[in-house]
Amino acid sequence: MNRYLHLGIAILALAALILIGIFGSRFVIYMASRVMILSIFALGYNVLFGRTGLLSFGHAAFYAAGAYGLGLFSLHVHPHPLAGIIVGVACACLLSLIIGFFCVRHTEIYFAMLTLAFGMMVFSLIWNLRDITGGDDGLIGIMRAPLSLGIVSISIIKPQYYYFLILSLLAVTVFLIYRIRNSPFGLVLAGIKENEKRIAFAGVSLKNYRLGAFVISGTFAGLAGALGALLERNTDPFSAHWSHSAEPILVSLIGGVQTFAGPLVGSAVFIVLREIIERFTHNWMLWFGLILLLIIMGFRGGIVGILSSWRRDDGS
Amino acid sequence: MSLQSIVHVCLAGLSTGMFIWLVASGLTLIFGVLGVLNFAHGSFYMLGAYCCFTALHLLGDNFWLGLLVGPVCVCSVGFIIERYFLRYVYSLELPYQLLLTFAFVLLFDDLVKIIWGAGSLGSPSVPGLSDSVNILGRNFPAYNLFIIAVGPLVAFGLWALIEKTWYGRIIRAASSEREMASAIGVKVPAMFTAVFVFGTWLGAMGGGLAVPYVGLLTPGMGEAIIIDAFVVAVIGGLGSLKGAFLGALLIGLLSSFGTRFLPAFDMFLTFILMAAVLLWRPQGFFGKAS
Amino acid sequence: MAADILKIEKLNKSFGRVQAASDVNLAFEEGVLTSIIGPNGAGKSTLINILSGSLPPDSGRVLFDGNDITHLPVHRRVKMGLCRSFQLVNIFPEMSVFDNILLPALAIRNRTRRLFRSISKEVSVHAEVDRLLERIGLQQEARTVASSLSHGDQRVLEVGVALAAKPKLLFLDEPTAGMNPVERVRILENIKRLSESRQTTFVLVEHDMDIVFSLSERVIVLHHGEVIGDGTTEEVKNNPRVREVYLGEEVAA
Repeated sequence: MNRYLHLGIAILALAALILIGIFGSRFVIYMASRVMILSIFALGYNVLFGRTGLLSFGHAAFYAAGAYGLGLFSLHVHPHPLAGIIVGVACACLLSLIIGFFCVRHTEIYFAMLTLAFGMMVFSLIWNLRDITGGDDGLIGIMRAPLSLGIVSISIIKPQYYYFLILSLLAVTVFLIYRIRNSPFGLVLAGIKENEKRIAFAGVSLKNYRLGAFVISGTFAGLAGALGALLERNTDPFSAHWSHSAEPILVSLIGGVQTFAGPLVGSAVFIVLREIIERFTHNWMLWFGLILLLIIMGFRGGIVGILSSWRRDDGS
Repeated sequence: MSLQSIVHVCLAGLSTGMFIWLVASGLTLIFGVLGVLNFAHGSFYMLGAYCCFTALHLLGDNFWLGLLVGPVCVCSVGFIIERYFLRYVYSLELPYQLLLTFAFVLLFDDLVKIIWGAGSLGSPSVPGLSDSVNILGRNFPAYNLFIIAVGPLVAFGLWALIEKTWYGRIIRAASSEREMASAIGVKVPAMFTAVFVFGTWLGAMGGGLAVPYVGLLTPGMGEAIIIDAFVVAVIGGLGSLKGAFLGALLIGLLSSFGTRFLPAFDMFLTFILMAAVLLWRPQGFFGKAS
Repeated sequence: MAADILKIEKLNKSFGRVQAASDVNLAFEEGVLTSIIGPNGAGKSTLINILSGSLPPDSGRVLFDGNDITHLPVHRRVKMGLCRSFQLVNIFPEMSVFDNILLPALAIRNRTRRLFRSISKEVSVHAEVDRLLERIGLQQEARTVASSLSHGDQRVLEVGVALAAKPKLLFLDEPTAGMNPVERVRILENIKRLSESRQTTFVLVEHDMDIVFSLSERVIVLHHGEVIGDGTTEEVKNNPRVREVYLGEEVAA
């Protein structure tokens, strides 16, 4: 029963997203694009945080790696968007492998601090190497060149068309992460979260699987960053700042850390809420601080967690 | 690279370091005893500065009175945070504790903007310390020298408190053996609150002392200093006050020399040092091995 | 004569002034149900910790199946076939009983590297897990969340998780701790039966003499980190030094 419910919801959500793409106004499409990109960031991040319990403050660096990887490739080599995305994702993957190697051998506080340090190192490099990265201006003028695949060439300059590219990649992300979750690898990650001490005695190398989760989450962060760069057509050095790392955490918490749909729901809520709040006041951080407070003090299951528990109370 | 410039860069570094020390001291104390890494400590620094600013204006532009009153106000905030929020998340996993303190960072960042505005506030001069002192042919602000003196004073005071007094002994006991301390009758929850409030006071004092600096009073000052404080706490050894003091001096000097001679990379150097220490000597230079 | 599956040579370990293991030389034969007993503080846990890999020795060697594993990390030893269970229940609490067993079963077959393959496709491993659950008597509870099992069942699961890794040599650290007599009999019978099937060599760590003497083919007695007795149950019962040590603590039957 459960599986069909989930599938039904997923189809509904997909249909909604498609409808938004076709009929939405420019503004709605822009907002939805941002929600989807943030979802990719958060879904990937949740593989690490939700499943292994490791809190990383450096993942913004991988987002930035994706953005700047794509940006530099697009500006200096070739503006083909898919190639740029692949380059961006590859940069993020490689960077997360290197940084992850150093970080996963430590736990908890030291892990958090190490990821913070490495993340900020990346930020300071981006900030200071003006000639390469554009410094505080970022890379500007990234083209959204047509998607040419052999004989077919699809223009993505119009936000509406680009929206569907993002949607397809989000669908791919959701599919991949769903598979990972239900794979033997995913079972190990769940085991790590439950009982770190026992996992080695089950024949699992804790370090290696942590690194695996770290690289997976870093790679998806890179995908989000690359897509973000194409959306805004520029890069922002603050996308590498540790405070940006807080976004996927916040979003996952709002939606529900342990759940699959949590990051998706959380992203939608986060971006929409922020827009609404910003209409009335500049002080959206205050409200998010309060929301975060509320969640930690009482609603750690997030929105999806609350909904699930209602359903359980009614049904069973 | 004359002797004059070296000395001045050193002095600048030392005074920067002392601010970091004041914030890091509270951070270290709280981590050592409560086991919580308080992200919001930079916010206490910031609140201390703003409260002092307002207090001194209300009390006839008297800096010293402001310094007395301001941090105490921030202490009440610290009290509320520990007693009514933090206390309930000790049993949760570490990420939730970090995120709780982070929630307060978000809150205070905006709160400050709402109450005091988003721009930087004017810096009053401190009578008696507003002049410059001539050191090796160049002027150096007397107030900075004062700050350089305050740092070790605070360090000494903390050392005396922890090593020589009864309270200090209890703090030391509770930080290494929480259950034992509770078993022998120490009211651990109350002590936690007291330590948290005291740590808040230290951070707020740091903020108060920052008030006379030109252009320093902005809503971003909390975030700027918390990272430095983290770096210092890590390098010195999480939980070691001695380490935090020496670490603060080191980072202050490094930052100062970096800004002067290698301006492009001083941020990078700080973080690489932090990463290096975490990788090769996670307990810092003075901490206990975990 | 069966091969020596585990050999310990000149093992030493001290914590400050406490000598937890003192020049220990032992060899474990394949297929022989052995027990290690000793009063509390004798060094039993330390020995298990060193042998399973969570603690490095100060000096000495550990050889498993002829390979020097002295400095090998825990998960590598498990993959080689050396495993342990824990005195305090150390399972995966929010996972089902089935998944608790599935995890190590997949891990030792190197199936856990699979990222994109659905777990439901691992049919052969599923069947093995079912078989194991049957052997330890938990097949009814396969879908139950581990933390909601009774304490006795959790202890059985604890042993099951260790067995799932298909060990050649399994150290059971006080497997009956905290069990009522009925549960105790059940798990001991299970262990006896499993031992007789000769797939795993069991080494029991206990301080309850009755259990030890009723079950074991060989008994090793530790005291202050030293081996003070080693032989059949009769030999050990009549060992004067052993009687001396236990006279103040338990009356040797």
